[in-house]
Amino acid sequence: MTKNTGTYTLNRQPTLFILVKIVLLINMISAGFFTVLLAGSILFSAFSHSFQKSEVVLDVRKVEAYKTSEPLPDSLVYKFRPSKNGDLAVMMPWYSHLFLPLGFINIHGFEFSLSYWIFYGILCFLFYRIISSVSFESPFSNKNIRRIFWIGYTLILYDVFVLIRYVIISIFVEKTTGDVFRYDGLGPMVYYKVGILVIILAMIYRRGVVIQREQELTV
Amino acid sequence: MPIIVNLDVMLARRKMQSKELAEKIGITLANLSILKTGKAKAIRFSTLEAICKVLDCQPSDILEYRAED
Repeated sequence: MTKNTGTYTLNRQPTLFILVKIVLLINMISAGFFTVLLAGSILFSAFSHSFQKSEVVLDVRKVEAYKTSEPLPDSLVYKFRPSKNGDLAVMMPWYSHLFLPLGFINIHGFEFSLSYWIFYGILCFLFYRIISSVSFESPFSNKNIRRIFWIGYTLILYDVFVLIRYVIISIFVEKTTGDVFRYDGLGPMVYYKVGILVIILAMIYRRGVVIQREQELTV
Repeated sequence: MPIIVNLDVMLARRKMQSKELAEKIGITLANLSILKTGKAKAIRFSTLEAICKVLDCQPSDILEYRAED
């Protein structure tokens, strides 16, 4: 049994960090793979259809006032897809696929879209860089502050993007269906809250950098 | 910074080398260099005490205040 001398000298990163790094690396690779796959398939599909309008499946819900009436028949501009939520299939410009989740995978709380995978990839990359550069002898560094701030900004920006998308698609759906349906793709909107928390922590961390520098220059 | 560290002057008077002083007061040569070059933000009383003891001098012999222009 080793005697505890009361001093902590960690020259190498703990095993947990190595495991986290491996998991993040796998996530980064999968995010990159899905990004390339989705972008490639969307562009290929758009190219093969000569960049015409194509079908997009959207999560919708009926407006309260229309709940009691019989289901509306498919119109010329939209039709329904048989699913639990009653998804609406509408014709939209080809580039809308770049911002919207793919309709055939509608798992609650999970968004399978190009924008999501880019966002996820950026987060994993920043987190990986932080984990790889952190050292226990001087854990506070300016580079890591920037990365932590960027994690916060990315989280907030993603929710801003989701909100803007929601507003645009809502207007589109209401216009197309004559105010019978509302778009239901806002999502849980939790990222921005985490983002604010991360930015607050980054500010505290920034103070830590100043304290560490002063401590290092105390003889 | 208006606080000047005159440690090299005292070392020259006592004919002592930095390495020897660092060993005697128990700090690293790198930290002593930080102190000598005036990069230090603070000095511990324990370090000051050890320096004064080894060099047989007063804190005022090592530290000096010079007003900035």
